[in-house]
Amino acid sequence: MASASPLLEMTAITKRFGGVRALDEVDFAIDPGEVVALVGENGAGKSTLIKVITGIHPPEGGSIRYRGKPVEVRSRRESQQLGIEVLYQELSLVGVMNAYQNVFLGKELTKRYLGFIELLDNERMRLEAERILLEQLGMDFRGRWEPIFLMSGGQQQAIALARAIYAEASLVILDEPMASLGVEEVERTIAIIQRLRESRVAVIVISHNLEHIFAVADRLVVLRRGRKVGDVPKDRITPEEAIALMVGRLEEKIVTPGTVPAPPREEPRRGDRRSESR
Amino acid sequence: MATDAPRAADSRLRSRPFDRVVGQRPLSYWLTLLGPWIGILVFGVFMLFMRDDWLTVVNMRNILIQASVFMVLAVGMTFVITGGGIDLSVGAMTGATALTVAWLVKFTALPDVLAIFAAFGVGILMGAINGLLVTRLKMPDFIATLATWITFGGVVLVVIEGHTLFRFSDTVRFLGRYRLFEQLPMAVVVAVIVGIIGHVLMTRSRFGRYTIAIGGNRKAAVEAGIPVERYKMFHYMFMGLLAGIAGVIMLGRLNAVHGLVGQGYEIHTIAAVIIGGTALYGGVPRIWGSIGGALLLGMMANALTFLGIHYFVQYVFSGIIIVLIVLIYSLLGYRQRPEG
Repeated sequence: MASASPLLEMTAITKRFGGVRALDEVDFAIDPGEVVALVGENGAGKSTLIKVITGIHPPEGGSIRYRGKPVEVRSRRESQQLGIEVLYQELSLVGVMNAYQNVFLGKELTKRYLGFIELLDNERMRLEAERILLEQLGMDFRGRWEPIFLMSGGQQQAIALARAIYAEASLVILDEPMASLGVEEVERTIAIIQRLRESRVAVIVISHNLEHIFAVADRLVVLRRGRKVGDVPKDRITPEEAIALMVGRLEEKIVTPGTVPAPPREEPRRGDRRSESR
Repeated sequence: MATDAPRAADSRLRSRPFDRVVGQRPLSYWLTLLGPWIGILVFGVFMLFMRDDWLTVVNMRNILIQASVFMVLAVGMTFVITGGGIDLSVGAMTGATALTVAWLVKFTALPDVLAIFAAFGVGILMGAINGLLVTRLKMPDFIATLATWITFGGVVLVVIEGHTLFRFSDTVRFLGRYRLFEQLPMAVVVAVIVGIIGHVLMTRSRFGRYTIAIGGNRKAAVEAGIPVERYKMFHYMFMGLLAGIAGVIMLGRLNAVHGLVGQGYEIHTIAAVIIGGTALYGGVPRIWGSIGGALLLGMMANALTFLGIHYFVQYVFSGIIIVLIVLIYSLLGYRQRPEG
């Protein structure tokens, strides 16, 4: 199955807060394995768009298609069921727990004893978490038993990503993933995002750092005052142009060679994502 | 160290027993883990030199029986504290459950065994009240259980009207007085079983894992889909049940119950948990530490009596021991929790 159809396709999304139009007929699409940077000044509507995608703020107007199918995302639970995972700036990890306990938090693996006593299978969770971290994220966590608050920001981020991968996310949203990382760790995070792309996971990155964005993204989507003013493949835009779009010196630049017209109908099945990503 | 390892595919992911036990944990981790046990050892040696009639089977058994009530309570308190709460009403609940049994066998025709189970039920009910105050009325744990401490204690005083109920059947006294094989006190057996169950629950069950998550980072627990309030409810009900068991043990041991029974138990229990190394702000449990802490406090109480020091002085010593141990923990520089 080719990347002919976008994974997520949002059309004319409108969202108001009181009298304010936080989003004004915004179109947004992303393909499997594509990395899109969402940029804009504070209050441009980035967070609101993410909240629409994740179901926290259902939109007032517009339509959303996921894997070509019309969907309504009205809660975080529903977006999770679609395979959408979000990593916020303050990572939602438990500092006193170790790596595997965090990867599997809320989705623990268990084992039955005597037929009725269900206990956690810590050993299997540890091995599985280490496997995901090593094979998919290139981080070696073997023999790491300490609570994660003793680990570096980059390592914690890898654990949070492993959580998303274990949840079989098809779309990962990273909110300022490199804001609090050191130089080396930024590089590692960029490498991790590349790996996600290779396994055909779609990634939306929100960041203020254009250098990082140009290092990692395939395409830039620029929002300004709730409107989409830029949608350009990375190699067709310069950082200067991006800034001009953000602050309004440049009115609009939409270049969409990658975006395809409405895809032919197909019936994607849930639970099939793993095989799809190979 | 985490490294970029493209050799992922061929490097085997195997369990390394040495890492598993020792891993990267610093020495200070082990010292805090063994803290109460080292304390017991040091204190025991000290007592050996002080009194040569201290180390006898009878005295050791006394210490164990005395400590068993607090061991049971401390296991429950470890769950409550690890989940980010605190229960100040345990002493009152222990007294109230002891009174429940006493009252039912003295004033009703209820069979003794059922009276004991009724006490467990009353314990769970009181725990549920604590839980409801915390989860439904959103009261801070400290305030809610302070209120119920006073209330439960007050109800006991009202019901018993300054009397003392005493002399109970062997059935009622089973947990507190029975000796397995004529030697091993039932109370100690119960305490050990509660310890084992507590340990397995904490390390190998969702209940324990989510307790740690809630106390460690409540927001993350909510985001992971853990029903935080339901688990908080469970913590207090579990604590109530254990207070019921402790109450029945205590009644059997004392063979009497009066209005002030259980007073001060909350302080003792929380002290045992802190000495055991459980983080007071949640997220880091030490079930066996709590058991050891209860044992150390029991030993001290016994020793002070042995050395002819007044009972009241025991409180002073308990306080000093807590300060000392917490001081040692912090001097070791072992950080249990992220700051804040």
